[in-house]
Amino acid sequence: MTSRVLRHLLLAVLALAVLAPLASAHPERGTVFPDPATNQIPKYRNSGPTHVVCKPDSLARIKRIFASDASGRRSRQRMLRRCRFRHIQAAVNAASSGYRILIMPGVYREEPSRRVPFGTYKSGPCPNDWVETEGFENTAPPPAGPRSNDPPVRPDRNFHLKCPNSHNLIAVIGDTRPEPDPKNPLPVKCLRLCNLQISGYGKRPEDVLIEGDRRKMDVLRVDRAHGIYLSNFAVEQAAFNDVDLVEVDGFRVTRLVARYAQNYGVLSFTSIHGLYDHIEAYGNGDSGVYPGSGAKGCDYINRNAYGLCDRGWTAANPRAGCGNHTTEIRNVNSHHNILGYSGTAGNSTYVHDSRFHHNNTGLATDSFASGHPGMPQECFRWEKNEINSNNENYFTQERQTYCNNTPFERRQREIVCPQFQVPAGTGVLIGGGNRNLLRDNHIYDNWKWGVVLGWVAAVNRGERDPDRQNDNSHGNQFLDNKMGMRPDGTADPNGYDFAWDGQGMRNCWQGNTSKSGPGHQYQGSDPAPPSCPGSEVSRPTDPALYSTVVPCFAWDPRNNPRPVGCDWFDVPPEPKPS
Amino acid sequence: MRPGLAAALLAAAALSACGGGGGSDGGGGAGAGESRTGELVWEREPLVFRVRRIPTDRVLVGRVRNDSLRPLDIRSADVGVRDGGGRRLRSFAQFTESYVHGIYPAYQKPDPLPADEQERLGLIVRILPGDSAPLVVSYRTTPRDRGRLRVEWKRGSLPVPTRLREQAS
Repeated sequence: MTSRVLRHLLLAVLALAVLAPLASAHPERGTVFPDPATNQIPKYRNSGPTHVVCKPDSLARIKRIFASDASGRRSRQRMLRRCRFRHIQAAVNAASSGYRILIMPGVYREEPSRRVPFGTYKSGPCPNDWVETEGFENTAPPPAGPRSNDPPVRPDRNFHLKCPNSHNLIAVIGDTRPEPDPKNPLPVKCLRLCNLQISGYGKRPEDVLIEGDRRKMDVLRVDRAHGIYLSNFAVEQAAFNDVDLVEVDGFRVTRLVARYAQNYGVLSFTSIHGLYDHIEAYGNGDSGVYPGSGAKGCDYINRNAYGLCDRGWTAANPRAGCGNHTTEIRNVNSHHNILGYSGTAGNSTYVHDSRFHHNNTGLATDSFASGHPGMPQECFRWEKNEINSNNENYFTQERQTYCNNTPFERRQREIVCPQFQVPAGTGVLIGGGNRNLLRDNHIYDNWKWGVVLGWVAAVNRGERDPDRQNDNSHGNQFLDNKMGMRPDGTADPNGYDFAWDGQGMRNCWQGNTSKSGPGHQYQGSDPAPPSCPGSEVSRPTDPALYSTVVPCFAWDPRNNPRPVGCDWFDVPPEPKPS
Repeated sequence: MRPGLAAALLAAAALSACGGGGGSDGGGGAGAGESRTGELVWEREPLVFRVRRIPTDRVLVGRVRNDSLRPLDIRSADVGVRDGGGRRLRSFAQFTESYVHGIYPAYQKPDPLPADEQERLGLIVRILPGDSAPLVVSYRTTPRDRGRLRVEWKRGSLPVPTRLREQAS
């Protein structure tokens, strides 16, 4: 063997070693909903035991930031004298439930956490604390096809308990009990670090920057730490989530900037009593905000089993069984992401007074995927939002070539690389939801679809019960939206205001006004969508519409960047006002 | 009637009633009645849609039934479209009747995907004798295509109808 061949082999081995951590699977472990969930959205506290975190240059930053605000400057300088920590994780570790952690202006890279090796399955820290889960029971006969050498494993709760900084730059772990059977997690409890308040003490969120190393999956992971209050800082460059809230009963995330994550800006999962407020999210490779696997708002179902919020519905009120919202999202400005908002099993969200613009797709909620408790998706209420100009396209050949050739660790932080395929030019996408209400929003200048509704076969989320295959895309209402016009009334058309595959019962459209013009108001089997209360007859999905979307599954940036039959990755021409 | 059965019947009605003329591909012929080879048959004549914004592309939507006496395990990667001259067209097949979403992000997924995930996504399927499965095949036509197109898999092939339909507008 020549030395040249040996050198190439060595380089190949080194490259594999570098890339190995990238081959990890979706990092969310198996979860359950907090039940009973008795907490509330936490309120701001300005007293109580406090740890202060600062950097050597915090004083200089304070003087600069508060140069014209003597009162603000003095209060920070007083607080700075109490600083005992250089790293946020150290302050968290020293805290107890009910503590406040005040972060003085500065850039927080959390060097001690960065030095903790990144564990992988059977290698590195906590090599055996991984759980194999697909999120559904496979009772079918063995299928054909290759068996993967990379089993579908995720770090389990023991991993985060024993090796908190292997995958997380900052970990707030509330449940200290070991997990005896990670496939069947213990009921959720918060035993320490409950009601923690972590706040930046600058003027703007960007004055306190928590910077990920582009290797740790989460920059800030909050795991079973109920009542957490996060405010007034910027967080960026996670290999998965900038902020990740898992199995949390009660959280408030406010005045936050979440940007440049490989996947999600702020993500909550199997959590309840949550509030996203005044968040700016941009530059994320999946979505800016992700309230996924949200608790359902109806209290008559077992949230940890299959259940629908369908009790007491009537034709006039198909949402009667929805109950209260469980996550509120307000004053969010989410832009220049692949998706402004997404939520698989994003149940009972109340999204209002927010902006989703200049993404590839504005908002998506769905029942598409396996491994997400709370299926099928139900009962959102989205009102008074501005959903516009979602015509960015990060699927160009040039972008995909760059993304393919540049591992996340080495990419320029501002360049967004798509992690999933979406239809560029779309305002709202609902894939398999029930009893959702989209009302009184301004939806304009989305060149493909303003709003698209479609069915998802339950088998495609791993649900095999024949009686549940058509359990979604029912009772969705689209009321009083202003389509194809800006808030000042200027026409700014959508490609189509609405599109529907025709499947499902009691879906209805009423009171919507449009300036998109003739030929741009509806794409579907019929000339117009049904008005309320909609049809009691469940029609099948229309192949003339679903044939437009199914081929797009084939997208793979490395092997199939431009799938045959898929037109999602070229934004349609701008529709002109008639 | 069980909801699943009702939906299947309605879907069958929709497939047979779905209208919209849009021309034809290939060398003519009657459609699904034309001969097949192997154990699979079209449950009913599939629909072929012309992709509105990509005039060369087609999407075939149908169901295949296992007409044999033994289970069939099929990988979608082994399913494709060939022209009458035996040339393989660029194509992608999936055993599904609705849009499917993977669980692994593009740059953070195992290769190959776990078998359960492949099955969920319609990339592999087991069809028991007498049972059927949905099949969507997208393919790209070229001026070089000769003769009748066929959907081909490892153990046989099925004719592609020549009639083209228009996608929703």
